[in-house]
Amino acid sequence: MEPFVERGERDPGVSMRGALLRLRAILWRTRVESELEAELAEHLEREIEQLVRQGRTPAEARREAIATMGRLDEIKEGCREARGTTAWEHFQQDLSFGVRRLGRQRTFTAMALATMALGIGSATAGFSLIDGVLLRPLPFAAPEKLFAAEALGMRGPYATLRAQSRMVDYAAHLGVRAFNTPGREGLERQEGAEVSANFFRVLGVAPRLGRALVDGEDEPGRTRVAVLSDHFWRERFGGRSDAIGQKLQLDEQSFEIVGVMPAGFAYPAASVKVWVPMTLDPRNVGLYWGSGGVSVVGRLRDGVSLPAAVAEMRGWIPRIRSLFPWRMPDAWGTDADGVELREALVSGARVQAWLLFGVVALVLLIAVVNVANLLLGQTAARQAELTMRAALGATRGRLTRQLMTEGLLLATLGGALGAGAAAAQIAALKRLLPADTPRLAEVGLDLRAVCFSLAVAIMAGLLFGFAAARQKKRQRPATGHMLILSEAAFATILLVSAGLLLRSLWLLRQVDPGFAPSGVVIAEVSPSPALIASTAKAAALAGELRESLLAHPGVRHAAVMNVLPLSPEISAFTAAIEDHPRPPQAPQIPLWVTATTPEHLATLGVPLLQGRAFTMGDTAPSAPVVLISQAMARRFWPDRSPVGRRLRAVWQSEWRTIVGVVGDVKNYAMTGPPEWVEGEVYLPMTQAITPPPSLFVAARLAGDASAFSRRLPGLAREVCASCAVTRVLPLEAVVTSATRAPRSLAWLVTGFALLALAMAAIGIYGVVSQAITRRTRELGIRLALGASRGQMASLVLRDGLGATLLGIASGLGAAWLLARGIASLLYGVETHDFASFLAPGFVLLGVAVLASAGPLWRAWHIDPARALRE
Amino acid sequence: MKPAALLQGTLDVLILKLLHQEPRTGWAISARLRQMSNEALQVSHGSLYPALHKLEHEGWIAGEWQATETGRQAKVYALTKAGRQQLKRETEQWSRLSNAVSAILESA
Repeated sequence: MEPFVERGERDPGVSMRGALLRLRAILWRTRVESELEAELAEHLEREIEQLVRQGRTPAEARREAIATMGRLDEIKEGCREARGTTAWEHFQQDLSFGVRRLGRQRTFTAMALATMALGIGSATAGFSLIDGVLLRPLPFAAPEKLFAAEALGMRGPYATLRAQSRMVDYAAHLGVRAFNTPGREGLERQEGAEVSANFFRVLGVAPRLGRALVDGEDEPGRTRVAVLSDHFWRERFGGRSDAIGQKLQLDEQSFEIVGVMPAGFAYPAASVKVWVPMTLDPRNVGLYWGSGGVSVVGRLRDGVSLPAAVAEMRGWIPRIRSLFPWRMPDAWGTDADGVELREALVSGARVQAWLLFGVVALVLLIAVVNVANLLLGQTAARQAELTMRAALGATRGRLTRQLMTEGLLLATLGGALGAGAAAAQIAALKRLLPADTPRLAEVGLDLRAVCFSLAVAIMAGLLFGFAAARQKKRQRPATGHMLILSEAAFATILLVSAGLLLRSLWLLRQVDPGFAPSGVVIAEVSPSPALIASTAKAAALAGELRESLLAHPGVRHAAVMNVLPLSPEISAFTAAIEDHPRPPQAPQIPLWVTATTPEHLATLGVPLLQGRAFTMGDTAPSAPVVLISQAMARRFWPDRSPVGRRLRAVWQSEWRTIVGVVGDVKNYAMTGPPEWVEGEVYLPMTQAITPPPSLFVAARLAGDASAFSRRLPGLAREVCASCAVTRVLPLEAVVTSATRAPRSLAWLVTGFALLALAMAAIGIYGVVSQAITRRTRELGIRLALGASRGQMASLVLRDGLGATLLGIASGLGAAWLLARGIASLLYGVETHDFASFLAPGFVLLGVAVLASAGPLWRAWHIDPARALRE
Repeated sequence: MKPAALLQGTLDVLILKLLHQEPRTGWAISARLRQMSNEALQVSHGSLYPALHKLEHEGWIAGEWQATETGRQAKVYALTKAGRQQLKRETEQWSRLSNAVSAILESA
């Protein structure tokens, strides 16, 4: 501003002072103003006094002084500008103007705010999901130092590694298992986890009450102790602190309660109610070296990197291998690895979470585009007002700032509403997503999510303001085309994703589970461990249970088995097949195994294809027999009958003879068995390889299933008083819940896609309709000059549909590239499935035609005389 | 002769100079300016007060409400330490510029 004066270098103290003065001017505006008033008044008084001293009359003096002083308002405005707070004051003016405008235009405001709230709400809910499941550190102390040590598997190797490692503090837990525990209404089944004694110390989580486990409590011969979850403690002990020291019965053994964990602690699973020490007893050789299922978590000691820790672990593998009481294959443990714990926990949910986030992000984009379009329509309509302001001296910058402020105001209000909408959507998401989604409990509307929605709102607001400011000079049809194009593209991507997921869901539902669930009732019967300590005991109990079911009128067939079809839990063993020998070092043959009673096939409705089913004559002392699935028969004996061939568990010497072939059953999941399973077999319960941890009863009924369902727990308890009876369900419910996860995902994505489609339709309608309003005169002239109404209609249609088609094309292109990312979620559908790509294109085109129909009708009925006059 | 309009930016340095002598009110500054320049310089109040407020925000002068000899409250401005340095810088620049302009005017 000064042509020759260089500004002094700012010293921070000086600019600090200026900032304080500015702050004062903003916060105490009236005070600063009255000071200015007083200063100028004082000046005037002095001037008058001086003039009086020079000989003027007081009246003359006053007149002259006022005249020399000039316009007070101008001086004041100059002083205000000198304060450097005018930007703030203008902002306040724009803000209050914007608020008044929004209040006047209720329909516009309601539509824009609803759209913003929906868009920002969805995106915030999606962000909370991503944040809670994938991004946020685990709720443990220094979680970045924790890792999952994969492929150790048994207690012995774990205990050895824990004792030897210098770099890592190793803890372990067994998978979640259920215990029988006395509840208010008889025996209950509660889930618990067996953990190493250092488990809580390694994770770095302190109990909220009492103590955690202490080192050494996993050694043999210690008092049985238990740590409760916060939820279980409240439910069972009413949250009283005298729970500590009380006894808890788990599987007929008494445990002393020593501590309660805080509410958020949900490891290894949210369903865990109680943690008890696992026993590490080297004298129990079978359990110590032979039984797997141990998950190992390591905490890096200070200054140790993960690669170094993995190298140390691998270094120990050969020595641990030589400690086994039997010879392990040379390959055992060579694939041992360490993965950051968070990665290991959530890797299964990663694709779903990102898909949902991507979907809601697209919904947000469509919402933003729609509101931008509404705003542009507004800006066009207030051309007169803006021109007037410019004529009255508002600078370009001032007008831009005004539009920016209005955009920000709208977006911020939308963001605040969106945060509210997000709370509701998060609750809905948590209900719809499968309960075993890792870390789902940690998902919630928190400060981070609110900041996210605020940031989104501010970006959207700047975008609105920018678009409006760019457009304020004149209408740009190109802007409208861009809006239609992007909406059509986003909606296409969403529709294609929904199409792919729905198609694979549909195919999944067409899958024949291999059994006939209708009319079958099942239940889980969990005896205390002593009752099923051996195969003979378990088989006897299973036999008694079956007898009691069969005695009930209306039961046509009944069977008792170790595992139900469609069981997410693995039931497998490693086998050798007589005429398919494998070299000793090569992997042997993993087979899925169901141990069951006679009538299994009749009860579940599985066809017998060759040979015979099990009978009461298949007992422990009789010749060992096995049934195999048709798929296994085809795999190993493609051109011969398998009946009469033999197989055995690798660690047993006794051969089992194949006596029959049965239809293929989806024993594990609708998508088939785990890919490492090479075949599926059935054994008589009397000849089971290991006693089952729990029994499942199934009964096929002639009549009413619901009455029998109510009777079933009583029947089972008559046979076995110490059995917990849970999950009394129609077998159909098992089939339904097997497709629950893909179903909820498909419907969620479809819901959002339909929402997007509706918003895109509104957007297209808005743009086309505005274009016609703008072009009424032009169209009137064309009509007057002899254009046919058909030509005009095509002119109007071409406008909107051309952009839509381009949008669909680019959306399909993007979807083509993105589809590979969700390949792991699809079943039976190619990622580039033709129909799933073609259908959304047509749907969107149809919607665009429908959305253009109204405006088209208006264009068709333009009266040239009136259009020209207006 | 009509009073000369002030060259843009010179008002700031004149204010700093006057306050260097002693703290003054806005009125005293304007009166002193008129008097010292023999009424040749007419400073409009429309530019004096904004200039004062700007200098205050820059931190070069500090205003304080004080009782005057007549017993009324008046805002008295005084030069700050940063203002003294700024005055020195601007004085040097002013003499450089006026020398340069004089040299051109006299040689032509």
